[in-house]
Amino acid sequence: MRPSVGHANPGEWPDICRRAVIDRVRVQGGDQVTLADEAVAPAYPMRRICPVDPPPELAAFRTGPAASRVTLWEGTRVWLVTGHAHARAVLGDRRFTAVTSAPGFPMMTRTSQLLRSQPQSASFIRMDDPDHSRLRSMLTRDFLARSVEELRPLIRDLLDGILATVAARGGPVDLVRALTLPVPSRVIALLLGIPAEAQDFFEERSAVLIDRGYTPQEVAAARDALDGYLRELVEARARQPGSDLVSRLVVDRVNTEQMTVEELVPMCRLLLVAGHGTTASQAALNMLSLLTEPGLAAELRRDPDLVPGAVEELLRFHSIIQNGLARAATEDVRLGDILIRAGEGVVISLSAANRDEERFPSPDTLDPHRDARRHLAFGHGVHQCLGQWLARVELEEMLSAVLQWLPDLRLAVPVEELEFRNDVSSYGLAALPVTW
Amino acid sequence: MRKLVVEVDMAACCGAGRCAATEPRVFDQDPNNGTVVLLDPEPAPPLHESVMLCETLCPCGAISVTPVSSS
Repeated sequence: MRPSVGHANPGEWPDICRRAVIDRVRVQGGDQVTLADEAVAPAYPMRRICPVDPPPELAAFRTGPAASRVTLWEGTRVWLVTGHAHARAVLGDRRFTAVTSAPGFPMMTRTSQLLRSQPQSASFIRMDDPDHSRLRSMLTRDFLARSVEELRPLIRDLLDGILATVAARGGPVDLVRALTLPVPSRVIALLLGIPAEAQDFFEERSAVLIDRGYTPQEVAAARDALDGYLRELVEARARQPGSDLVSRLVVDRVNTEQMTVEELVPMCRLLLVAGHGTTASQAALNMLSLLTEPGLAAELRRDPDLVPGAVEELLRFHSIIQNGLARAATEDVRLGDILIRAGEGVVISLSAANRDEERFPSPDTLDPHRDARRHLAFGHGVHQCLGQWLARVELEEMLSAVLQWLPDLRLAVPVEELEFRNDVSSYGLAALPVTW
Repeated sequence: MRKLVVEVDMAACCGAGRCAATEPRVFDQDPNNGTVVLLDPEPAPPLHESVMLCETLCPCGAISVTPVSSS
């Protein structure tokens, strides 16, 4: 029988996780389940036991066939891919479409089902080439590693300003509210030229878009409000262009008829929502690791050159896109020992792939010395995260700044009282109360 | 001595920049659209390992590295 697993709720961490240092749960029952059996299509996503580890069943899937059947919330069966090599193969294969209206495309939530019926609101992450690459390539230049590197001093100043205030005021403080959420959100707003006074508006709407706790109607309303705001912003920039990204897209792309306003608005929404929620989630978990992984903070303080590598490892370890990426086969594709037929849905578990011991020895150990660059936290294939370099700069700088400004940082509450955001598309912490 | 020949597929390149970040002695990026610029199609042996990593890291499969036996 498969092990039954509880929810990783505050106060409910199993004893096995409840140590001063968060410990990892060993994989259970992998050899007792015949995952290839068509009759066994367990519900997906599974639940975590330990809040910093993926659900333990995923390890059992990884030792099975290249893909296994799982059942989504509304009863449809899709293929689940958990191995690193197979995840890479599917994500790099253009026979798998990212278009949600494609036959068999996995509907991960009630909301994705609603949005599927409104394809006009889709951004380029839900398109295939050539439309995808036509739109994405308009942004490539602004998100090149060298372009975002120019933002590093600005991000550093922003962090110094925030942390000087925090340090002077004294603990306890919620690092999510004070730091990990506002920093990425201010950076993307700055890039897009969104005025500071609109910050709260877009943060609140964006939070609704990625939270499964809201009804599809509420999500659609938040999206429409955001789109309405962005449309006004686009019109304002068309009248009076500035040097920001939105102005340049209007002048260079919309005015030259390479793109319509109807395409630009969802593009801006994608940059806004994907640009800060994910980085914020990852940053908060990184801070948690600083507090709970023995020796990590001391080591990074001693050797700041370890920070970029540690960030790669933290991306691998936490894999915040916890339920993975969805695709559908547009033709029959053989994946290892499995034939995936045209019109069948596939879910690629990035968190399982990033804990594949064939790729990462001792995968459940967070090791800042590991070369983790092959992780799939940013995806793989043509849709690999456009903002990955900006995310890296922000994550590196947040880690360095906290190490520098708050040297005796510790949790302000017992570790088992931390509340994790499990219903949000990017896994994270609701709050991280710390003191020093 | 083992020789590696590096080739890039400009049509496949999506400008992610993993190669230029990993091995800047062999790969650069066009500053305008991010597409790969191959600086050294036959990199010296000390670079072989990182060039092969670039082939793996490229999200779009735009880099191919072929060992050639030289006599």
